[in-house]
Amino acid sequence: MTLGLFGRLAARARYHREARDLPRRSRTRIYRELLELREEERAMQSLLRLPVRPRISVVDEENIALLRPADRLGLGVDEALADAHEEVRRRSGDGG
Amino acid sequence: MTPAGFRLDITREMFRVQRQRRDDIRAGLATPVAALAFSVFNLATLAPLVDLAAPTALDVAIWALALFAVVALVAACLLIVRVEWRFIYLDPPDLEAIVEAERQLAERIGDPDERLERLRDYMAGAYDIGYRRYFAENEQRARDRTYGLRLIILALAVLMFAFTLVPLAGMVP
Repeated sequence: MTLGLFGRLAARARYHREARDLPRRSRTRIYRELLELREEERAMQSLLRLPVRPRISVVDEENIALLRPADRLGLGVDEALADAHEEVRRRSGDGG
Repeated sequence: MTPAGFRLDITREMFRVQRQRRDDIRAGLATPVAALAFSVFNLATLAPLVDLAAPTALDVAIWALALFAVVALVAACLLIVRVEWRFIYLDPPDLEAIVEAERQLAERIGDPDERLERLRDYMAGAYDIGYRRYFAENEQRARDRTYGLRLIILALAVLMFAFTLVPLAGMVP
């Protein structure tokens, strides 16, 4: 265990980590962050009346991880699916 | 300058300021950490002066003050660690996302000038999200640092008071 700790301290990253390489705890934390960000991005798209949603990259300093917008699927944030659900909810709300 | 260009300049500048502030807050940790080390030395000096084998009322008072200082210092440590704890950085869209946005805009907007304006707004929106998130995080962490420093100053004041009681130790039964 001690050797493992020292190994982690001494480890050097040549490049940033991918979403799948992150520890589970970090993935959960970043996942929550991304869910909030998604709402922010949606609000910003609406404010600026943009045809394309602005999308942010998330950097986890402690894990040397960079999660670009394209990496979100790796964390289970399926925006297309979430948008489709939102659209269905909106339409059913309009109908009611 | 176009309105979209103006929006981009403003939001980018605000984003950069908050990003810089993050590093400033980090650099500002040196003062509380130095004060913390000083407080610990003070405790080490005070401890041998208290005789708990045959305690007088004054010994108990000094010990209680020292204990209060220790609690304040531990709380300050936690706050200072929290300043550096699990900070998540947000960056504007990377090149891949910008290229993808360009492609999507090209499908819907024919005029290149209008497309560029929309792209500027796209970036302005991303910078604004980053700015607001950094602002909240920076405020939280600046507050933690300030509270930590206040607790350390309180501990130092309490220790100072405890030291003033030490010369009286022989006089009080």
